[in-house]
Amino acid sequence: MYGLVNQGIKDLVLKISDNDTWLRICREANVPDEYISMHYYDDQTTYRLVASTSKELNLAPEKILGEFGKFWVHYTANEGYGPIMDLFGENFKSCLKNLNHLHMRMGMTLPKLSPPSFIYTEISDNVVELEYQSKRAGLSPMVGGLIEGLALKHRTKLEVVFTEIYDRKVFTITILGPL
Amino acid sequence: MKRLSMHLSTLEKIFPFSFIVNTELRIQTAGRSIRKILDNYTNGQLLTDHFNILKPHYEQPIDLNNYLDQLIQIEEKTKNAKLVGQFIKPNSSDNFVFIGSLSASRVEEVSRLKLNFEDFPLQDQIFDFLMLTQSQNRTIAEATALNEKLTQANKTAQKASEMKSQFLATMSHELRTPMNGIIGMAELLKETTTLDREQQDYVSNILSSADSLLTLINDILDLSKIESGHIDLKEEEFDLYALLEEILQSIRALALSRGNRLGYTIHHPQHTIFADRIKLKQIIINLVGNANKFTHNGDIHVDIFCGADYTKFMVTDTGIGMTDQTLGRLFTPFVQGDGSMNRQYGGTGLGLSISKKLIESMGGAISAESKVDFGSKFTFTVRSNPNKSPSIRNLQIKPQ
Repeated sequence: MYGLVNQGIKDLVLKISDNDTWLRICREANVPDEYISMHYYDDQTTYRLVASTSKELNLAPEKILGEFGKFWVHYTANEGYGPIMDLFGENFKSCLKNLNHLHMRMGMTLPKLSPPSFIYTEISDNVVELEYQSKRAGLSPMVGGLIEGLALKHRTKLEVVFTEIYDRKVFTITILGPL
Repeated sequence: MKRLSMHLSTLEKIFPFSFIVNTELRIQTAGRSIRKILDNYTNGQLLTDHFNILKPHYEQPIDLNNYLDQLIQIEEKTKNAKLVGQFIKPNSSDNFVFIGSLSASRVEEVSRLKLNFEDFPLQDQIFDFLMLTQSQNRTIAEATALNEKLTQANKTAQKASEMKSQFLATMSHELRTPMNGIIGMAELLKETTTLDREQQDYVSNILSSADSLLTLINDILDLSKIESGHIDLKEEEFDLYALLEEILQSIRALALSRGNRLGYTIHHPQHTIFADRIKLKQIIINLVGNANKFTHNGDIHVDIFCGADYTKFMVTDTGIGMTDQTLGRLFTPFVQGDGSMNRQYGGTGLGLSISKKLIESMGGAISAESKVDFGSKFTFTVRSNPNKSPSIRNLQIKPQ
């Protein structure tokens, strides 16, 4: 994954803890403590960081990934990608609808990215399904967090149900109204 | 006309920034994203009411036939939105069709026009370009921050190194004065007073320990002077033959006591070079001294090759030699061959570091080769610049 992801984990750790904790996490994971956003790092670096963060903060890895997904929306906006993200949707639903386009575009710009794919289906006015496909294993909780992060950004209250049948991973999202 | 409009409405999904203009330059119909950009747009308005043609530039009045098959840039007059594209003229019509897209280098230019992802055709690469630009900006910002961090760290390290060298220089100087007092008094005690055998042994031990300590202090002072950049070269013309004689003379008794044979060869009829004589002497004494220290009943030989700008020296011995591991850390301050050498052979572990730095300050380099039980060879060069020598004398090479 690109360094931006690992740097995002760092920022999340600094937000909920401190720099000493981050340094301990990196030591434990045997990975660098600084990352260059547009440099590509082995996926194992990120997996090890998540495992080590989970151990250090005494939180399940799924919880860490969920928090990270939620934080990601805010983090990337702060890193200068906010205005581009805004072009991909002015409300929660249009953001979800264009999520696949956004990731495809990013995949074309960053050739090693190997981004996930999303299939958006509108079930009714307030219910949508988002099917998530990825070559990487175990990152579904991050997508759940990402959906929550987007909802928070657009002040939308929702309920998310995740189902995984064989290799089909689907988030069923019910929009309950404004936050 | 009707047929063209229909085509446009069918195709506006992939060409949302297109519009049709008739021969009177009136816009017949415009794509959905053009309509979003233009204020108070209605069909039939003049092209020039809304746009300036920036490139290419032709004299007025505008004749769109001039612009066919050319890349053109037009600018919306109120919001300064720039479009890039081309005019085409379908065979079946007198009208001109503009096919193009927004030209933007910053995301803000897109959001300022209140356009979003859905206003662009899927195949439009503007978002790739904008993302790439943002990534580039991010990388530049990171590189700048990293550079500042490194510069700061470098300054701090440099300052710490200077302070360390300054401290060592001051301390060495302060330690040398009382040490000279101790040596002087011990010598007086030994030479001018009557001592029994046991007392003589004690005084000899004081003198020997004080000598070792003084050597260490002098070495530290040398090293700290070099590291803090306080090294002045006093270049002069001198005769290598005389220098080698002087050096070997000073070390001959020590070599004899270890059963070693000393010799040297100057491989050039010219003996005169232009360099810092005192520092060169210090380097050769250090290397020959080391060779003598680690050789027993063997040979130590100095070979000198005089080149056009550089002089090469080789100090070879048939001593105990070194492993590759030892060779790797040979020029590191305070490190001797291995930990046990210091105890067995004495010395501070600074001599070679000092020699290396002195050689480098003289524009040269040093290297070492060795084989355990077969001996070692140290090769170094110094810039000697014989051109500056006023006279080249042909002196007889002293036979070995």
